[in-house]
Amino acid sequence: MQRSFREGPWNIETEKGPILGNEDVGKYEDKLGIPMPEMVFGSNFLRLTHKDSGKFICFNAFDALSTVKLGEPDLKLAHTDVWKASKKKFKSEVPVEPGQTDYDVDHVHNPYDWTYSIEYQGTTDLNFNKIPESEAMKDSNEIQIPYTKLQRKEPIMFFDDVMLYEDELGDFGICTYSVKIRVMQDSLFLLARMFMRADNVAFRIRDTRVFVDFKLGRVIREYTEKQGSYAFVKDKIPLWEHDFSKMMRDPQWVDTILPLEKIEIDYADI
Amino acid sequence: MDLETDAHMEGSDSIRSFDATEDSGNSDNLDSWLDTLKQCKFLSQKNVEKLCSMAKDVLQYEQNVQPVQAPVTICGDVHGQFHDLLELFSVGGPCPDTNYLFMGDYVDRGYYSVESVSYLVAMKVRYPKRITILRGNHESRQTTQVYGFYDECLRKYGNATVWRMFTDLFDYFPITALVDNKIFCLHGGLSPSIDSIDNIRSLNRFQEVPHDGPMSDLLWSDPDERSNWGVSPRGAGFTFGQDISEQFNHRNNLSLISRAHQLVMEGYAWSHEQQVVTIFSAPNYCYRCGNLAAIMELDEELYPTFLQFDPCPRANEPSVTRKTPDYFL
Repeated sequence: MQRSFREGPWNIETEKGPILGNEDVGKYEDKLGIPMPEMVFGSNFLRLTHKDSGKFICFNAFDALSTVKLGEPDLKLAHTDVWKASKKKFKSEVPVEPGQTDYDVDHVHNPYDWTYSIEYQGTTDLNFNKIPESEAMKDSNEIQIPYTKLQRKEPIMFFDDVMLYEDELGDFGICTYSVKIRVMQDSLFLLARMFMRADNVAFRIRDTRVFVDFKLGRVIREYTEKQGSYAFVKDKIPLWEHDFSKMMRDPQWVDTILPLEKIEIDYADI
Repeated sequence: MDLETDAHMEGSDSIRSFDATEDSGNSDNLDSWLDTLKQCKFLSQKNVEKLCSMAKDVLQYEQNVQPVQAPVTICGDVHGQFHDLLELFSVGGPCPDTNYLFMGDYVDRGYYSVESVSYLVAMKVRYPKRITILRGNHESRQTTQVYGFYDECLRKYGNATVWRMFTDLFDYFPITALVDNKIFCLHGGLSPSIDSIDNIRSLNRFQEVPHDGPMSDLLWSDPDERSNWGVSPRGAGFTFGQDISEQFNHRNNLSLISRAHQLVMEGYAWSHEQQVVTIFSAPNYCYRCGNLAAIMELDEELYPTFLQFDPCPRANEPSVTRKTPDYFL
């Protein structure tokens, strides 16, 4: 299903369809060199196009997944050591006979970040200027998303929420990536959020926020990384909260708990 | 239940389960429970207790590699999508006229895990020779606590007793099935600790799904394009290549490995040059994937026909796609 909003200086388009079929999954895997998440909403996107200049910023699954890191992942499942030890023990007790297929639990064919943690800030041809990291950390920084203004309940003229991919991490957690947008009278705001929970291991949130001030003609983009151990987050659940698993599934709540590890701000004037 | 089907089970342990369930009082109960469930109403806690105890009597005599005779219709993950499960039976034909084999994952994710698993277990007890229900990796205490079945039981019954009764029952589910000695069915896939089907017969399956060992592999592993055994980049868990499937099928004189466990857009997918098929029977999985579901009909000659189906239109289920504007920051 396609939607668009064409009032104001920017065209906003969203597309929402089903997950990729087997054939397309194969194509993505060939191009990106990693197994795809279980649900890749390959035709989905959110695209902002500046009417006068034609400049754009777009969020889609393929470009997002192209930022998944290859090589040895920094997180492992909680039971990895136990699992490997038991496989090695079994092998020592029941030796592999000639002609039988062998296995090596310490060898992974092509390691990659199985948590699908991306470092994606959108696909764009806007000329962004990065502000120094030391500046970005400061509250007094001149160029930043005006959260106080965004907290005012200005009427929302267009809203959409687009899923880009999701993986259940082999039933050991979850990783979701989606982007939502709201357009007000004189500005728009979007949040592209990756939320990852590896059960008994860690949480990660990677957010890209984009704020556009129509009058000023300025696009501000903020990228943040947050991470914390599973135990750390679990400890923060209030004692009176009985629904423990609900809290662990709630990105908004987890976001308030996790410490900020990285922030980048850039802007483009148009 | 016809005599022919019963006759072919002769000599196996399951004769006793047949006796235990032919009590007329029980089948009256069962039919009324099935009627209740069909309306998407869940059974009382007391009846779940009776049902689970009857099901244990049936399932404890089934084998780790449960023999099944064709024709039979093979189904993959259901995941609590109860309306779609009823749709499955209307697409595939009603049980007991059609024989069914389900390859696990009845609970979690969907909103009606309680109804789905109660219905399948009640069908199993009512028509023990007509329907086979294998164990999936979600039929476990640990997984259901994270992915929804536990929460759903608490919500519907106000306590965890029903969850405990079902998860205790899951320990009795057979882990694999063999159709006419040719088609090997299970939830996940192969294990490097298992060379022959006979190895599976000697496992003790009456336990929580362990995190390691052959039983865990059978419920968790996935086929992969790369050859040989692979270790998941997650650190634990195996993938198996085409060479492994070929060897296993050759050694055990099989024509096909039929498994579930992975979502596929078309509802089914061949891999390893038709040595392996994946079947997934939850359409529009998690109410947002837009995928088709499929089931595989095997005729007497074991020739497969795939029936695909869309989600059944329904009321009272939250739509995940239509979201209301919110003042997110």
